[in-house]
Amino acid sequence: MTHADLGLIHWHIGHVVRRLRARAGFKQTEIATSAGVAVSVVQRLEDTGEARSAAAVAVASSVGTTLADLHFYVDQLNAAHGIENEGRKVANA
Amino acid sequence: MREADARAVAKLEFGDLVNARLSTLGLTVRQFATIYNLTATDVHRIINGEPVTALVVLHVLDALGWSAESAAATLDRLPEIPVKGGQLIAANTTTAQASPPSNDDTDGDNAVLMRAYFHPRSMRLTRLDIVRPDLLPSLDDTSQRLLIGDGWKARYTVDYVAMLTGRVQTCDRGGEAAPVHGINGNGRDCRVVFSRYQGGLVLATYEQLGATVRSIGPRWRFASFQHGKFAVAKCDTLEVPTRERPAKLG
Repeated sequence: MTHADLGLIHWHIGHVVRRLRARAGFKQTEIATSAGVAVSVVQRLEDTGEARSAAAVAVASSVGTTLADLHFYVDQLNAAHGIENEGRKVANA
Repeated sequence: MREADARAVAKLEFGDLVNARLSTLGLTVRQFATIYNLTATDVHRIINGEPVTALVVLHVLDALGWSAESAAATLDRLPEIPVKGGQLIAANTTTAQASPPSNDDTDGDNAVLMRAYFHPRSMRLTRLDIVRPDLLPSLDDTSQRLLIGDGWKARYTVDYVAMLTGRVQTCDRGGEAAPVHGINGNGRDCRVVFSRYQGGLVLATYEQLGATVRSIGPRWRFASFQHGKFAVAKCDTLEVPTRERPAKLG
């Protein structure tokens, strides 16, 4: 698998959260309410892939997955494109 | 909280590719739109998978330096997000790279043979991509040109055109368009699946199913190009042989 024709694309968990949220028909505010976090947390996670770990776990659960599975999937995407995983952007709570 | 969609498979889409590329470049939607003379609304619509005009899609592709073919090929190769009952499930627990979907017709995998892009209201065929010409010998260049636009309507049987029109328009309205199952000229089970595409188009993907797969229920026979018409006829319902596993329908 290559992104050679598309230029560098670095996936993060926020991209997958966004897809799963949209697929399930949820708004960011709904996910935030369900996860018990501020909507800005969901926005930031989707935009940058960054969040405190407790918040990321809660958001992942709200879109029907786990943080570990999200990381596993994103690692697959990036590893397939020759991108080294540069460490988790999820900070410890 | 509503239950998450229970469809079996989630895939990243064109809008996700655009979104990920912009974030990799460190560009906001507004910055990207300003630089390339687009409206932020249109870019947001693309990222959200909402309908936009074909011109907008072409503009975004051009701005990113992408071709439609390379974007489609990349999306095809992206692994699926395994989802079951609203739960994302890891296929295994290793960190080994997943194998990309195979397009090999000789084993149990499905092979995408052709992609057709329809305008749902006029039912004009706006584009036809032959992915596996080796498995579609009846579709030479001349035949392809005859099918583009309204040409396809005159070259398939009336009931098939009516059925396909119904499925495309159902898909366009956001409904669940059931796949069309059939047998191709190679005697293999095949199907046409429908999905909404950028620019308000509907994509019909023609796949040959894995060698051990048999469909259940009514099928169409996609035989050959004969006397200026594609011979497409309804088949009888076939029973599934007990030794062979049924297709994963849908």
